[in-house]
Amino acid sequence: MNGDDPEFPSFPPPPQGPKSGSIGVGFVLGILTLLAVYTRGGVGQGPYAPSGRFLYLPNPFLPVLVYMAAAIVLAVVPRTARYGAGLLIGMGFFILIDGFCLGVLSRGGSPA
Amino acid sequence: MIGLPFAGNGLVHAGLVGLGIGAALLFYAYEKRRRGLTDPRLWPIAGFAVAFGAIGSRVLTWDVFRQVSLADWWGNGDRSILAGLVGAWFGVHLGKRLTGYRESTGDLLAPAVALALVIGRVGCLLTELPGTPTGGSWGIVLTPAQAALTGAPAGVALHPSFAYEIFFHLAAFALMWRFRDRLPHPGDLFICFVSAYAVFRFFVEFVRGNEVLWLGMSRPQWFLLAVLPLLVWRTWRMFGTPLRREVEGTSA
Repeated sequence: MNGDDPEFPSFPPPPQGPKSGSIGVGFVLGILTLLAVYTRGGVGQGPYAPSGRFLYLPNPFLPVLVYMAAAIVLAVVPRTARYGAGLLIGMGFFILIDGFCLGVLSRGGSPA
Repeated sequence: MIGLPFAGNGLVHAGLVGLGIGAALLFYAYEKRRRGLTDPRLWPIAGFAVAFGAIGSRVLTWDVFRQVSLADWWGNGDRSILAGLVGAWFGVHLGKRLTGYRESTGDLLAPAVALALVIGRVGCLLTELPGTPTGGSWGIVLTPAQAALTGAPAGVALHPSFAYEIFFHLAAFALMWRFRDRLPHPGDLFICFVSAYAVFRFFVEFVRGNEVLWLGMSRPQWFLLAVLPLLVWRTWRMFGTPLRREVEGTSA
C-alpha cells in the first residue's frame, strides 16, 4: 500500500469544495438497499439454494453487482465521493456481519 | 475452564465483527485527522478496503476441488481473515488507481486493521472451535452440547487460539501506536504488521484446529508459505536498503 510505483498515474487532489455527500447517508442507504435486495429480491434463496452448475451465478446476484458498480462510480467521482464511500462501507459491513443473519432476523426467524 | 458461552451463535459473532469494523473506521478517521490528511479520496479508499475485504473473505476461500458453486460457497462456505486481508489490499490498490491517489495509506490502515481484529476475534473466541487439545490449565473445556456444535471433543482442555491472536493484535496495535511516527518510510508500518502477523498466524495454526490439508499443515499455512517470501523480501527491502546505503557511504 505504498506509493512507489513509477507507472502509477498520479492526479492532484480534487479542490476542496463543498462536501461530496455524506458517508453516513451512503452507509445507511447502502445497508437498507442490500437488506431489501436480500429479503425482497430473492437473494436469500439464491446463494443458499443448491445449484448444479459450477460457475453458476444466480440472477438475484445481479442487483448486488449493479449496486457495487454504482457505488464504485460514485466513490470515484469527486462530487459524490463520500456518498460512494458510504455505500461501499455499507456493503462491506453488510457482507462481513453476514447479511443472511439480518435477512433472517428481518423475517422474524433466528440466524443459523 | 471458561467454556464457550455462545457456541455457534452467529449473531454474537456478527455483532462483534460489526463493532470491530466500526472501531477501525473511527480510528481511521481519528488518525487521518491527527496526521492532517484532508484529501477527500481517503474515504473512498477506505470504502474500497472494507467492501473488497468483505468480498475477499468469502470468495477467495472458494475451494474449486469441492465442486461447490460460487453461489453456494458465498452463502455457506468458509470465511477467512487472511482472504479478507488480501481482498482489502486489492481493494485499496484498485481504489488508489481509480481515484489517482498515490501516497501510501498503509500507515493509516494498519493500526485500524489490528483494532478491528482485536474486537472481531473476540467474536470468534466466544462462538467458534477454540483450538486443539492442550495440557495447560488455561485451556477451554467444552460441554457436550458446545462440543457437538463446534465439532470438538468434550471435557478436554483446548487451546484458546483466538485469545492468542487477540493478544497478538493488542500488542501489535500498541507497538504501532508507539512507533507510528518513527519509521523511516511511508507504508513501513503496514509491511511490519502484515509480516509479523503472517509469521504469528503460521505458528498459531498448529493449535487452531483447522482442517489439515497436507504434510500436517492447514490451508492458511500453505497460503502463508506461498506469500512469506514476498513479505520477507518487502521487509528486507524496508530495513536492508538504508543499511546498505550507510555501509556503502562509509566505505566510499
